[in-house]
Amino acid sequence: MSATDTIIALSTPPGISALAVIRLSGPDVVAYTNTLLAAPREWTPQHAVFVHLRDQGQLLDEAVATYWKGPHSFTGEDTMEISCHGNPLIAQNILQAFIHQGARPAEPGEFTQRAFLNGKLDLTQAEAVLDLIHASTERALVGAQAMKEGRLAEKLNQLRHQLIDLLAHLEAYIDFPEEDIEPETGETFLGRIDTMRQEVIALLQTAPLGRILREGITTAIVGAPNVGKSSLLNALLRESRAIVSATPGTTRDTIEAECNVRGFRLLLVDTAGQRETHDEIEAEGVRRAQSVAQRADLILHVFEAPHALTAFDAELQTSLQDRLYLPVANKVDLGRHPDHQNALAVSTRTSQGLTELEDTIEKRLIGSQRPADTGWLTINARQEAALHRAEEALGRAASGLTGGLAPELISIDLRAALNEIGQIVGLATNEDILDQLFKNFCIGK
Amino acid sequence: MFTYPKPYDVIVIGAGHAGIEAALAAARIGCETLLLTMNLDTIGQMSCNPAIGGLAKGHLVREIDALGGEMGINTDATGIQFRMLNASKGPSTRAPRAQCDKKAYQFRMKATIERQERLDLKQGSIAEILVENDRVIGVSTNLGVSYRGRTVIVTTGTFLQGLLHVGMNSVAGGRMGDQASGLSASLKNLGLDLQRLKTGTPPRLLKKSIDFSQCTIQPGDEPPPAFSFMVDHLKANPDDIFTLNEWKGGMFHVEQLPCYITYTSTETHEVIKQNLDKSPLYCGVIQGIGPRYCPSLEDKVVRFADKERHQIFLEPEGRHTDEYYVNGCSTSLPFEVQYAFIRSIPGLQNAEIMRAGYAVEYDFAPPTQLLPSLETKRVGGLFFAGQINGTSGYEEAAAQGLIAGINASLQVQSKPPLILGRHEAYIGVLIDDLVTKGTQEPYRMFTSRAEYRLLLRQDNADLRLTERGHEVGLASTERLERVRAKQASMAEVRTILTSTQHESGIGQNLAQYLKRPDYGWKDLPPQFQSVNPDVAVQVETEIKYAGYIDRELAHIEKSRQSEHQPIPAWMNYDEVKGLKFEARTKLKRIQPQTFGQAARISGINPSDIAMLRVYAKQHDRAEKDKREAAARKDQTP
Repeated sequence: MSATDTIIALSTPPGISALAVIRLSGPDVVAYTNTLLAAPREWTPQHAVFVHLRDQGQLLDEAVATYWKGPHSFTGEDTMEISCHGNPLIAQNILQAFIHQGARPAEPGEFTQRAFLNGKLDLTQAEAVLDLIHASTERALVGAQAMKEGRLAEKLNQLRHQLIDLLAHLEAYIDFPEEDIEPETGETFLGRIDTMRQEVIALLQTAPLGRILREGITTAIVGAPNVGKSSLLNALLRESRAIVSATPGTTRDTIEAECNVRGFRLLLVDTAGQRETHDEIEAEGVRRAQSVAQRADLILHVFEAPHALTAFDAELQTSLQDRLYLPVANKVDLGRHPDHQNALAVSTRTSQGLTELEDTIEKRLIGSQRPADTGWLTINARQEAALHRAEEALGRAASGLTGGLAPELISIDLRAALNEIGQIVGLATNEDILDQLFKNFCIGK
Repeated sequence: MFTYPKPYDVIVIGAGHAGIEAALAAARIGCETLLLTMNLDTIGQMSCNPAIGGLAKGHLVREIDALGGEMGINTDATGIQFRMLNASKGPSTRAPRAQCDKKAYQFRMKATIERQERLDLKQGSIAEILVENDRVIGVSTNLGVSYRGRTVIVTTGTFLQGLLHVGMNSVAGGRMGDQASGLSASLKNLGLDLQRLKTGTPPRLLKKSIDFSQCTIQPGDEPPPAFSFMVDHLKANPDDIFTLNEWKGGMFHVEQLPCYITYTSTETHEVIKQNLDKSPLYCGVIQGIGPRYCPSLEDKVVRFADKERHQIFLEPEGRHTDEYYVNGCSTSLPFEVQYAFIRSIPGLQNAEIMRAGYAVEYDFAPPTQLLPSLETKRVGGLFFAGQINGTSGYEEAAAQGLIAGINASLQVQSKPPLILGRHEAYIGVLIDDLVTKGTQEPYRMFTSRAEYRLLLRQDNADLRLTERGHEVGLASTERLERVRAKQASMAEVRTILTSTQHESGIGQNLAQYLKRPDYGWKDLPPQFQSVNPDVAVQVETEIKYAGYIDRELAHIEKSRQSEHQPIPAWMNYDEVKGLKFEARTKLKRIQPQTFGQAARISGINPSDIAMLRVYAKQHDRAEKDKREAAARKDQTP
């Protein structure tokens, strides 16, 4: 049995390292890879090739790609292995670019499973594979549970249950028109779908938090030359617990340092080290700062407290308003201009305001990411993909219902949503729906 | 023992709804067929309500008809009320339902069987299934007659060890007034597992004792929706008094009778609650498991205690009888309690009970012992159909009977069996569910059981199945040609729709317009209003729901590969390492035919299936190596 879709996953542990390896398997690996190149190329199996990966023209990374032609590969299918620089952000962008092409995030253990299905592993290995498949599923669940005493699974099971119940109402409406029962339809039904959809959306919104908890928060310090960006970076490292000193000297944006701020891992992006000229003040400077900020989760915008806000800073501020953005007025020991009433006043020289800065970072990270009713629940990429499809299906069901679509079509979409949630917490069967139906309604002519 | 001189290709035991279809199908395909029944006067009896069809069941009847079965046309001929349920809902949830004249239905069916070429109808009670070398060779009756048959189809309904309950009185019987069958012992001797199920039926009342003025009238639809795709062939012959309805002047003519609706009262519920200690169901006398969708009234009152009233339908049992069926009042309470609760229902205060309601317990053979052809795995040539397989309902029984009849015939002709997929027919869903999952309660079809509900509509059963029915030699050529003509005119109408611009001049053709939820066939220009409605509904549905239909088709395509990959016969589940105990036990018991079927067994995980695949592949490779090694050896001088 050969698979029909192409799967992708990061094969190395998340986090910073010299290299990260992304693996794809399936019929479209060559096609997908070629679309990320300036021009398609011929691939010789088992030859490592240096490539520039681009997403809509923008350079993602310089990487080494190796093509393995099935069945002579680990999975037995066509496989592409991409070694890129070990920046989680880069790896994430490459993954996203492939997913955008149509690749599907792999289920836990799916590469091994495919290898196994294609007879690439022998029987004893296969037993080990089974364990592996189970172990990784368990781990996925345990990981979610660890976030908050199993509340993600609980939440998803609630949703699953609600969907089964909704379907029981719908199926009763369809299958028992002669019975004296009153299954929910119309407004109440729509209301329940909408509520569920909002809950799924709330869970989806935790994806970035899950990601930053697992992988850290990419933090850019931007601002005009000589306002104290490097000093702020050093101050943060000094104040907080520095984890790793990163390796400087590579040619691309690199993580300058990691630090732990109130339990959050901040990955500080080195922009301060860039060569600065007076051109920076000009439009080009704003563009560069924005481009750095674009790839960051958190932006610390530094300017000088004693002076009025410059046009450069004002423009930067406006363009970053909708991001997770903190204005930091440095050098407050030298005075504070009325323009900066709302900024965080710090002095990297005297350490004044640094505790407040950390307070604010913590508050903003929690506040920005955590929807009030889901607590610390977070989801991973696989769950995100499934929930995303569930949300789409619920959306179709809701708009179908509003548009007067036939009930069996609404059922198709609700079942699709149930199936997606089932991918995470266990599939529901027809029997589950019937059980609920007979529990809810007195059927029987 | 007298051995009957004439040998048969197919012997059918039981002339209920399953047996009838099995026998007629076998004879029509060309097999010498014998239909044996315990009582020639109860052929095709509607032991419970006098109605055919309804949701999913109506779909089944249309499929039976499309394949060339008898149930649809017999219902059209003898129906006394016809309705299309869910007419205001979506296209795949509409379903025809009919009240039948119970006696006319039976006697017309009996005549059809008697007049069928190659079919012999005889009375006889079967004592034993005769088997040699795990292959059926015939049957013997309790009068000491043995009939030789190459295949045998068992359709014994609720008659195997049937036990009838009214209060604490229980008597052996397959139906009130009919004796039970003792065939269970013979089946057990063959190594088949039997278990118990329960079902029930309500009391019947005398028309003149009912006050219909206190009830709501429920008339039939006009024009009456028919079941058969060949209803226009319906004609009453001069000697045929049981064909009540006719096709005349391009129309289906039925003199319809209404049903009536009333409700239980709080008093009814009180009577029942006070007498639960007299219910065999609540005293543990009844062991069999009853259906959840057809609970007894006592069950409804207990389980849905906060429901103030339960709906009751009063259904006429025929034009020439005054018995009324009290739909919704299935019960096994003692007669005196039935008398009291019936008289607490508005309209029934003076009702006379003609027959008491009762529960029946019976043996069924868990259907996981069957192949998808409905042949038993244990005995070659032995087929089961109907309630013996744990189903409920005339339509479910007839569908299985038809398939068993076809497959017994195909086996006689040394042809592969007809197995309908879950994407092709409700019949496919029904049989796959039975042989793959088994059942815990009497199995009834619901539309929600079908994954591809949108494709399995009652209106397109002919398009889906007539060709299959014709291939096996059952559906007539005329039927097939009619389907071909319908397909051709569908294509033609589709072409015109896509090539005709809408008058709005916004560059959209009519097909694109039809996709709009608020634009229907009636909004199309006048020339489309004369299109045959059967064609119009197909084209409109296909266009309107194209997005959803495409998704279902894509899904079918995706599952096709594993669905059709057979599990090799040499598969030894004990040798497959890493299978969980539960999976191993179930796989050994059910012996699925394909990897797709295996995957649908409850409790079997994708990882189990993967293990099987690897094992199969390993085995193949080992065999190949062995063969190659042997070949090399041969070449060595």
